[in-house]
Amino acid sequence: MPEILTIITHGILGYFIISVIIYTMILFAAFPYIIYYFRRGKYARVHELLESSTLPPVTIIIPTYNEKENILNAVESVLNSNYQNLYVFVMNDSSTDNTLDILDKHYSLKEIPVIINPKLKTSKVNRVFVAEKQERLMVFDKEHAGAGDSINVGINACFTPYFMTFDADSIMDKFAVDELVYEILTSPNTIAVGGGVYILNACEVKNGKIIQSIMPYNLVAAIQSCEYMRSHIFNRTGWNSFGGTVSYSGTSTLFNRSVVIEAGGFDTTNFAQDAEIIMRLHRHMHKKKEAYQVKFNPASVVWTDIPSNFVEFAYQRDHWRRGLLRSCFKNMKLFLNPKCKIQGLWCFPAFVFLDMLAPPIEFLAYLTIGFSYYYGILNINLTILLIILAWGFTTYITMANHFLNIITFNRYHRLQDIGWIFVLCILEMCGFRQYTVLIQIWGSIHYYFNRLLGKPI
Amino acid sequence: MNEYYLVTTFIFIEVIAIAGFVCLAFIFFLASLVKNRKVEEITNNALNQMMKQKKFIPLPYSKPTAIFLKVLDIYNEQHKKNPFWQTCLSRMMQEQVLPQARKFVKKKWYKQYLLLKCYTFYITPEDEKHVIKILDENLPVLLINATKIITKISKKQIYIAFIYRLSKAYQSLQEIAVLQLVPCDILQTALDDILSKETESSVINTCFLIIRSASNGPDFYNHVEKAISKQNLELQISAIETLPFTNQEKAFVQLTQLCEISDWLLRNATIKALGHIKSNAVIPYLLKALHDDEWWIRVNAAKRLSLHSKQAREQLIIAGSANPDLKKYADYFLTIEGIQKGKPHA
Repeated sequence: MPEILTIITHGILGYFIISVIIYTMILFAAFPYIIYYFRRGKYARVHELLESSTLPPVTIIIPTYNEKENILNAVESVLNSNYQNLYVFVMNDSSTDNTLDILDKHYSLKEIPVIINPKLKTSKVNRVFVAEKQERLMVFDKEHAGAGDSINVGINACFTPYFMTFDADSIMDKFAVDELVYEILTSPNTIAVGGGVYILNACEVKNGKIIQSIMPYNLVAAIQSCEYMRSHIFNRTGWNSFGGTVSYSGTSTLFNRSVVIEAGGFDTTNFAQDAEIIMRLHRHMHKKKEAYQVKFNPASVVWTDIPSNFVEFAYQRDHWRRGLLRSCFKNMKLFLNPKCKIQGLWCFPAFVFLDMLAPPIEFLAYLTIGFSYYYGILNINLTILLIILAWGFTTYITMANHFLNIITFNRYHRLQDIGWIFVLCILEMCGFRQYTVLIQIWGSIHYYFNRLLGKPI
Repeated sequence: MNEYYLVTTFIFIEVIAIAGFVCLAFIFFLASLVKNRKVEEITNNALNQMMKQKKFIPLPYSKPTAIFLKVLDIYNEQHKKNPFWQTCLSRMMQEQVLPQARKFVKKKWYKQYLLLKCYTFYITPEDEKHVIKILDENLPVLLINATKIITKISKKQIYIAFIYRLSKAYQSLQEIAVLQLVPCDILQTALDDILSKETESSVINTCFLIIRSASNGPDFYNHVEKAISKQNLELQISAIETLPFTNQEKAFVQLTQLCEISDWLLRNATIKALGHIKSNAVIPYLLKALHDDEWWIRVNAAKRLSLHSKQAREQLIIAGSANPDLKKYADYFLTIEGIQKGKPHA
């Protein structure tokens, strides 16, 4: 037994060393892009590059389910966008609250016949409305079938070459769409562009506008905010230099509509349909043997609401974990596939290595330490090295990210918020990280158990 | 013990590397911020002096592309109606920026963009080949801006080179780019030259797209009609949709014959094309198409009727009152049409 534990411990140590090297590479690779995106927006805005009339039209698709408190702010924030050549589709997924009534009261909805070309198979659309007070807004009332299905209905109905997915509990920055379109215009063959996501919870919002951006002081939300800044801004920017990430946030991604239709649309049975579609697009484009790019622009910003207590957080992460596992297994053909070039040989394997394997390996590390202590063979030096590599480096790299953030895209300008972010980098390792690992392990077991029962996820 | 030493050394190197990287990033960022501010300030002062003295003064800096773009945008916004500024800007671009920007043909996109900006002010015959080279980058922003310059140059060989390059871009980008073209005789000649010789369908399709949006082309009727008989569905559809933008009278006769064609995709293109013919003679054909077996053709017929003329809309309402399915399509398109015109359909 002691020999087995020693071998496992060395394996875990090796895993963390490789993880640290990859994260360091991503940090180094992200910086030139961060500087580029930061400066670019200041020098030439999208409306200066092209006349407004020639900018490509974009449809913003907002899947909605019981979002009566947030929907107006979300829609208003989109309509307040600096990018004028856009249309808004609210996909009401048979909400049981009065989301539809609120939209009707505010925008005077007028029912029109349902005429949608079903390019993607979706659930039934019951009613379609146009807003008399806002000609760029349409509302679709459909059978309840989840966010992926709602987006697919939006894709069927939309007539613009690009569409953007956006959550109903989010607020869009005034220049978010400008920045995403900027990327489309200035990078050849771009089929999808992701944007940065910040935390909305404590921000002051009025009529869909952020009056003041404030870091949440609720511990659960605050630590997630720190995590979002690390993974949603720096990680994904770093992946730009390695051929694009394989996972984006569903609340802030612009897609080329025809390519998404060709690839079969969003996965309707997946909780992480936003991540899955990116993996599938990589696979689809390699299969077609066409040049393409999947980009990330940290200058495009969306603010989103996140769980602020441990129960809701656990529920969300369980869903994400199951979604991630389904997405990875569904697109395993990418894994070490030389035909899929850098995405198959590096991006997807690294994603599997860092995101899919990290929770079980960290959990195994905790178990190994426990067993080693039980058998009286706990090597203190090795344990300290493990803790430094696993927790210490995450804290260190998160802090390095925040230092770079301060000089570039920093959205929190109050001194106490900036200080709080650095405190959170340490607090994250004191219980919260371990709690997250446990939830992810539970999510994995939940997934495999459901698969055994024949459920998709 | 050896392995602990190795791992500890690794951790130590990592800590130093990341800390060093962050420090260097800070220093680099602050240094470039200070430098850029200084350049901006000097440039701004020079421009202010120029505007005060009403005399052209060469700028002390024009090399950093990004700063130059920023200054240009700010000044253009403030003084776009000032003829003196426009004269200065033109001289600045021609005398100061262009000599440096000519080296940017194969550089980063924003440098190429600056070069194209210079060409909007001044372009020599030698520069024309640079514009074509920039098109090879296949970048939307460069392609669209280059199209404007190509319109300005307006030479047959340049148009031909442009059309060949445009045919390699994806459809939505082609559609945006051709909007920048202005109809002229030289463009017509270039199109005629290509259509007379070319057999590659993507190039012919691009020509048809240009005819549809930027050409008054009765002369192209024969080319387009010829393409309808080719065994290439994509090309046939494109040709049918282009017919009304050539000779409307001949096109009408040809389209009425195509209304009964068995392939529904071609029939659908025919109905869409008929909607572009201004004569009310098309209304009976569109009304007949409302009863087609194919859903798409029925929908497109309703759409074309709603957009065609007052008489066509009245006919659509009458047709809708007799058939609940047709009423659905009629209501839909008339509502959309009403909202667009600010008069909701009752």
